[in-house]
Amino acid sequence: MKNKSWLLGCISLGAFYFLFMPACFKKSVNAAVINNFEDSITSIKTFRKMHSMGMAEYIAQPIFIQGTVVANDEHDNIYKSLYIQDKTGGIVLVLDGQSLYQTYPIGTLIKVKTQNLFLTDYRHMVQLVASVDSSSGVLITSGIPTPLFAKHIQVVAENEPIFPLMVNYKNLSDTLQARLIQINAVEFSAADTGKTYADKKNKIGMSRSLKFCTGGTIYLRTSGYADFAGVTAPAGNGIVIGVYSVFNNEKQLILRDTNDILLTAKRCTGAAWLQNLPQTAPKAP
Amino acid sequence: MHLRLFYFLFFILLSPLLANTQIAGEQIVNEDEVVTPSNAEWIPTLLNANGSPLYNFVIYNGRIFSWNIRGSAQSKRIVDGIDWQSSIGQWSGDPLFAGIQFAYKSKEVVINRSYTHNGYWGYPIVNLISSESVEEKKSVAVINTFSNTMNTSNMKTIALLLKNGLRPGNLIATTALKFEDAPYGVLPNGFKQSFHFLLSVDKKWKHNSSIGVSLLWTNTNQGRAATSSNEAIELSQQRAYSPNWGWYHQRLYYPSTKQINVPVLSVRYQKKWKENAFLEMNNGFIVGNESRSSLTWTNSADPRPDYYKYLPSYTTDVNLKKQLSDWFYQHPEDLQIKFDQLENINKASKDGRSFYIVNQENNAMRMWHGSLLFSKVLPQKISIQTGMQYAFDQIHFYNTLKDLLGGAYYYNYNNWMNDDSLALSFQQDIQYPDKKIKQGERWGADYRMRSYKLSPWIQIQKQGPVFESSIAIKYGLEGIERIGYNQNGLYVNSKGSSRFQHFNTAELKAQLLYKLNGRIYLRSIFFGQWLAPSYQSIFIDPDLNAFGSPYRLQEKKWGADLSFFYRAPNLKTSLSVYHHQTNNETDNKMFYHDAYGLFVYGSIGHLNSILQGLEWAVETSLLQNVKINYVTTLSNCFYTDDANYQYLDVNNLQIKEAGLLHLRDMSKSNGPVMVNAISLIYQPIYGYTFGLTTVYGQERPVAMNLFRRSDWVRQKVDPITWDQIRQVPLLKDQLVMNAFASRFFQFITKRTKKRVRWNTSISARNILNALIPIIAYEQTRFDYIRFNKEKFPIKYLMDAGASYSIRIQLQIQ
Repeated sequence: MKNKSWLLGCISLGAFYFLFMPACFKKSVNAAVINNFEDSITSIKTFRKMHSMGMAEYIAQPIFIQGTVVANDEHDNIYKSLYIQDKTGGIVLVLDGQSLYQTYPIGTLIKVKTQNLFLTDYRHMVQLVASVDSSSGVLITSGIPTPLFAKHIQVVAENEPIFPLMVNYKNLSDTLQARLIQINAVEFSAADTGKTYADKKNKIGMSRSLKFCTGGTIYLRTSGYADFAGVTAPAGNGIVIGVYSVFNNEKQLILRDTNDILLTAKRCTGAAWLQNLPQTAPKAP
Repeated sequence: MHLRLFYFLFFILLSPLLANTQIAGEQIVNEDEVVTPSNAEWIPTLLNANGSPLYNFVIYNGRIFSWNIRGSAQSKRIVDGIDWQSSIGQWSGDPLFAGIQFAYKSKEVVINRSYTHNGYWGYPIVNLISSESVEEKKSVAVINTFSNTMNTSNMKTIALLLKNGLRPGNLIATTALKFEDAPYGVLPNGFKQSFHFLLSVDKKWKHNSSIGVSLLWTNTNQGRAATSSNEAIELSQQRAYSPNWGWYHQRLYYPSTKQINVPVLSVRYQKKWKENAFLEMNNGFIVGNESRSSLTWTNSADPRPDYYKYLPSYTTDVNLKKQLSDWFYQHPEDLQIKFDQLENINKASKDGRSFYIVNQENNAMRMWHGSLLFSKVLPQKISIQTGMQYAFDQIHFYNTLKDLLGGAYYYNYNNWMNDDSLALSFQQDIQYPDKKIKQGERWGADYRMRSYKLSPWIQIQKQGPVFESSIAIKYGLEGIERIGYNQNGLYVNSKGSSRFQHFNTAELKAQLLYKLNGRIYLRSIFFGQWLAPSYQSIFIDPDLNAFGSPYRLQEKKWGADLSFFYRAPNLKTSLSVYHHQTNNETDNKMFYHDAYGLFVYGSIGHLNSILQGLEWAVETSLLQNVKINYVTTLSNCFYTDDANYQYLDVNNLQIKEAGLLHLRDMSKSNGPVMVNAISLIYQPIYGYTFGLTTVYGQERPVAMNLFRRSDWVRQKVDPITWDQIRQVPLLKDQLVMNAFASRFFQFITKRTKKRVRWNTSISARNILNALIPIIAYEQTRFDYIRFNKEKFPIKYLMDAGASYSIRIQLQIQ
């Protein structure tokens, strides 16, 4: 009987040790990402003034800008970049990541720590990048690497309302770069109507000319990778919303998706053309 | 927590039972492997060919850097006379028996295909074990093991072995239980909880017959380790870095797991006719599930933290490189998966569509494996064995959605296929297009594989005073069928039966042993095998379709082994030379081809190789109490010819590219070319043992990706770059040192005269803390655009480093 008790004791001791031996394994650190986003915010307009066309400015100071995402890569018409704007202006933020729209949907208010980034321009379109390389004689830039998003970008608010700025052809200038604009009384040139926005099959981007009834042309630039690249340009007249962009001296409009095209009215021909007005103006979304 | 509570309740309930058990026993068994250096039979006669110093070195010390005997990945376990390997999928049966092998009886270790009267097995190493209960006294053994990994505590194992001795009615039973618990963060693979149970009952009658039944149940839940690039491992500052886990709601989360819940029933019958004939009939049944889970995503950024584009090496800018390195050093959590971020993305999608999920691949298994063995000794010392091995397998492969990670549903689409506006092409099931899958529901691949294998064989042995010779022949008929349950949008034959594909196989073997005198033996073995194509070569991608691989070839193997053995009271030595040739090997992989910008099925055919080498082992006593084993091996495994390859576009199975792979004279193995190993065992007095083992491996190649060595690549690059691409990278020479100490004592209680044995051992692995890759391989993906070798670098899984294990055994009889 003594032996049995002894055995029971041994087993219970083993079981106790097994059950309650402390699990002192090394845990990885789940340190919170701490960024100093408390500094004052510089307006995008002021920030853009730091840039001289054709140059690349390294930002050594902890300058912060804040803006709302007005366009992203949701429909693959925009690649590895976000277009953000505040009340004063807009800028392109080049990010080396994919499916950015899932993390930064349209309407997301973000604060950007620009320290250690570069202000450059691509064909006169001002952008914020992570690195520049001119050793080959050509300025090659790269976006902010994905792991550094947390270092440079902080989401401040979501679902911020965005209202496109209504402009006419005469107002189109570099101060509108990367801003969401709305142009009225426009239509695709006769040569471009019925054609697709881009060559989806061969993945080649294309520009389609949008004519103002009042005179002037802006080019709707669409990537061959855009999921609406194979959609046919409508023949009607009306409103188009998009992000203003430039390619050297060419004024361009970047479409976010085809819902931003409201060309359902009759083309501005005949009397309407003479009066420089569409015959019926569709409602803005 | 629930598991610990369960353990606690288990012991509370079991303790009185154990207390009332009559305790007796014969020997404490090793829980890791039955064969140990101390009990392994060494003398290679035809009657007794168990073990060798070489085998023991490889089993106990060689795994750390892929030192395998003669190219065999591991020893093949034949349990209860049954080969549990399935020709479907990756199922080998090993996970079932590995955890509880201490409860099995070792019958024999057959090395180098040498003759055994336990049947004809065509593998380089066969470890025959049995669950048969033997006529022992009643005993109970408790084995506790505590071990650390990566300087952390602790993995705990507790095992019980009860033998009830011979009972009335000639019934003998053995019961074994084992629990393992390694909490989150301990093991490189994350965690492990397992439960093993074995009940074996045998009934004997007339002293010549017995029937036995064994029930084995294994229930395991564990994480899976992952390989990573050297860069990520260095950034993480952890040698056991795994990109496979992350933080989710401030807790550790392992999406990559493996579950085994497989009960096995085996029934055996044995009958002896005097001493010159016996019959064995073994049947095993498996009805269970094995599953693996992993993170899956679609139309989203790659969530793997060590994805090559996220690491500093991806950028060419020096300052940005430094910023990234600094960031990772300061934020090690960024080298793990950010599940909260993935959940946010899933939740933020328009209608709750999940872009990231945890998918579970399930294998529902129904198997019947068995063997027949009849052995008879004829006059003039001729013995004959004949028998048959057979297997009928059915595995249902399907996916279930394990975790939506905050989303509401997941589309039943092919993840890897781009939307090309053909709405049906990416549908996993066109009869239910755009199906929204909820958590726990089935999706994706859904098919059943069925196979059969019948292999009758016969062998004859003749013993003489000087020669022992044997010859064996085996014929096999095998078949495999795929039955699809959903109509994939891309492949017409994804649904329905593929009909059985049948193959004939054959094997033969001849052996001659020359006994020069009582101490010197010479042995020669010749073998040839014509095997069925591997499962992966019969169907190019059974998950999606029933199309055959372009190279559906029957593999041929033949080889010779010449050995010399010397045995003296204080010296045992053996020397072997061998030459094995393999023809018609195949390989199949699906991967993203950068130059074509799409996924391809890559198939390789006509892989021909030679494995040849030299092995020398010696065992002697240096002093009275010191035993030395020394082994040296030199092996060379290389491709003898260039091979053919094809890339098929996964979208239409059209050939994108075909040609030659320049493989001739290139190393095929990923084990070291030369290994020197020595072990010292010191026993100062009875009950104390100290051991030290050192293994040194040289010229270990990284496992090659063959596709990048194509003629197409050679034509695209300059000769210097081509040489760099073609060259097989070698790992640094590797040295591992292990040590152990054990204390054994026993005493007899005065009143009950019961014998109590206590054995405590401490073992330390890799005591020099050498950084040794357990796995090192070139990725299948390659930079086919710029041919930059570093873009998709070699991936590693590093050894855990110095670790110790304390083992306490208590046996009462």
